[in-house]
Amino acid sequence: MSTPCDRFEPMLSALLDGELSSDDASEVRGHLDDCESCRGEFEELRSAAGLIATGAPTFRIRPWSEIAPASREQAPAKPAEFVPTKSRKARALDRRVSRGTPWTRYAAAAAVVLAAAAVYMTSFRGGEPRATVAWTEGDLYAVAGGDESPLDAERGPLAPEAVLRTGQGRSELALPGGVAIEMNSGSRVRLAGVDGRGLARRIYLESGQATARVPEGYGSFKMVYPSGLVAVTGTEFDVRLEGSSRAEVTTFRGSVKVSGGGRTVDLVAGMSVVARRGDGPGEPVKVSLLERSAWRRSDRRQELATSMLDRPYFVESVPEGQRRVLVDFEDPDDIKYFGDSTVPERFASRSDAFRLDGPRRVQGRGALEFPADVGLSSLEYASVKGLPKDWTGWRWMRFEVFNPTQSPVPSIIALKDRGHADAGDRYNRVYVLDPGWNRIEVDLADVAAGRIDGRKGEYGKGIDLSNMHHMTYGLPESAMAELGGVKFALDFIRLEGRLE
Amino acid sequence: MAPVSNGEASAAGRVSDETLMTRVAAGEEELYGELYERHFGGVARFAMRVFSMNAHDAEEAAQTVFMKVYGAAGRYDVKAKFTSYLYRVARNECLKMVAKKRPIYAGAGGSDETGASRTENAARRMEAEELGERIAQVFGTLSIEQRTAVQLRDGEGMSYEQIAATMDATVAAVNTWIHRGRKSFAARFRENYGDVYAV
Repeated sequence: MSTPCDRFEPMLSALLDGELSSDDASEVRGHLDDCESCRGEFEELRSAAGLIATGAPTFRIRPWSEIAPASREQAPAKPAEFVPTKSRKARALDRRVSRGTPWTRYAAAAAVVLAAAAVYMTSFRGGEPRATVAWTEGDLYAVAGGDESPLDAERGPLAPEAVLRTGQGRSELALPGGVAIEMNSGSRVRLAGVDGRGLARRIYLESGQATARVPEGYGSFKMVYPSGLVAVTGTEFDVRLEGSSRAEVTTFRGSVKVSGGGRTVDLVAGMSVVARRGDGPGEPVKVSLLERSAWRRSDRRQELATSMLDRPYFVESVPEGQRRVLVDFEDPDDIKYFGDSTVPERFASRSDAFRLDGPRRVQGRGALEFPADVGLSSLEYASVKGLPKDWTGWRWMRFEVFNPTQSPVPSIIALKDRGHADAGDRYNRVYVLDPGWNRIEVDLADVAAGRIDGRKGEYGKGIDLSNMHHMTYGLPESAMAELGGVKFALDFIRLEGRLE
Repeated sequence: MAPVSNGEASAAGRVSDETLMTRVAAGEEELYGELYERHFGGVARFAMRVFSMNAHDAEEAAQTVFMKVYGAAGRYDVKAKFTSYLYRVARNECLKMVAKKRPIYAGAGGSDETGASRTENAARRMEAEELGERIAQVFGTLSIEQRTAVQLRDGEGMSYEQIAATMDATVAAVNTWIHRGRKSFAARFRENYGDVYAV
């Protein structure tokens, strides 16, 4: 049952910014008169907006005359077509202009070109949203008939059904609504239009390879390729084509449905499937996500971002009783909960047990640094005072992990109960780590039932939450081999969300 | 308080951004300096806040943006709001810079610090009382869409429609990013530095 606050609260920022119609504005103000909680929030929004508006540094501006090129023709940008359907005459005019002819000599031509430009910049008039080029490493072309025109990131919006081709080097497109499409070199896509809300709902992969990143809560998005399609919501996946009759789909985050030949297969994160024209998708297999995402890294050697000091995470407070902290690494002794030399004999023989240096202070917060090639293993819960072995009554187990590299890295968590502490196949789940801090959220109902993302899978067996034994966390072997001693970090392991 | 002027002609007779840019395109190139002075700071702040660039990189990015806009003056559409166009170019330029070379979370400090001195400087920054740094820190925890939308709204005073044109998104999406961005900012600022009001 929704309350008035449910309806009016999301409108508070728009009210603050004068973006509501006068009717809507009076309605919201009427609610504010009655509701102290929304009034409080309104004031908070106002304060936040005020803080953000101030406190930014001023810059010393070098005079324009110092940095201006001698004439505009020498400035870096060279006009180029981004909509290839111009008439031959208009294109000819553009070419003459772009070769550096003084503007004033073509006053008449200028008027024509400005008018032509106006036609193509419709998105700036508040017209339909368009896709743009986010960045391009090498060559990116717009294709129309036999014509190709090179594109660059600032060339403005793309035609709604543009065909784009990469040469050498990758490119990324930003589709209206927030879906990102990263194209490998030698790939070709065709855009589709937007839906009634201005969001892109599909893209056609004609050849090569592309990864799609779809924001959470976006709704459906499809990547269509010659022998089938992939349908997703809120996820990250990759499609690689071989010719037009074979496609290989890999899911990095969330899960996708791969369709073709009358079949549909669910593909969860960490899995890949080959789909053939006519037959549709085969059986999913587990793959190395690190290997699969290798083409997205510009250099196989990982460039380390400045350490975790530069990218803090903040944790919101929760109501009383809604959180139980298991380990927060504030106490230097917290290291004892994980494999280390201070640990009982069972871990003494593990070489990795000696490679943890102990919690490190990070912005007044302690966190556990661990090398990529160490598999963290916690102690038996029952053997360490203070760590509960009963996790029933909680909705989630959460913790924060820092990925210092510049690309997504898969990680695996395994949870085991006392009855199956030595079994290798209890609850296992892959989480892909983005660069920087990540919040890992384990749904305990899924853990108890052996579900992964709400689905039963062969890698999840049900766990007895009342009798937890230990957890392990780390990177898969391929990542360990590739990243070696690169330092990740773990912090703030907790249970949240009291049930009933 | 958000900047009052957004390039509109005022009672004092100040020429609008759009008029200036059109005249630049028509040949009065020296007028570009006025546009540059009006908006350079905003673009540099945008690069700093939204893309976590240090001051030096942000200035460099802003200069590149202004060069490119200058060079492409002939394609400026009079009916387009100048700032929407300018910040679209800025956003794409920053995305390019960030994707290509620099670590995404480089933060302040520049690329010629050693690991050790970076650690020290970072530690010193963490303890800094300075409000501006705290704001930037908390702001950096928002998603990039939220940072973009909130900075264009609260930092540059753009309307939702203008922001939507800059970001190629719907007004509804912009509203959500701004609303949730501000909420998260307020909650995290309060959690870590005490009451938002108290500042």
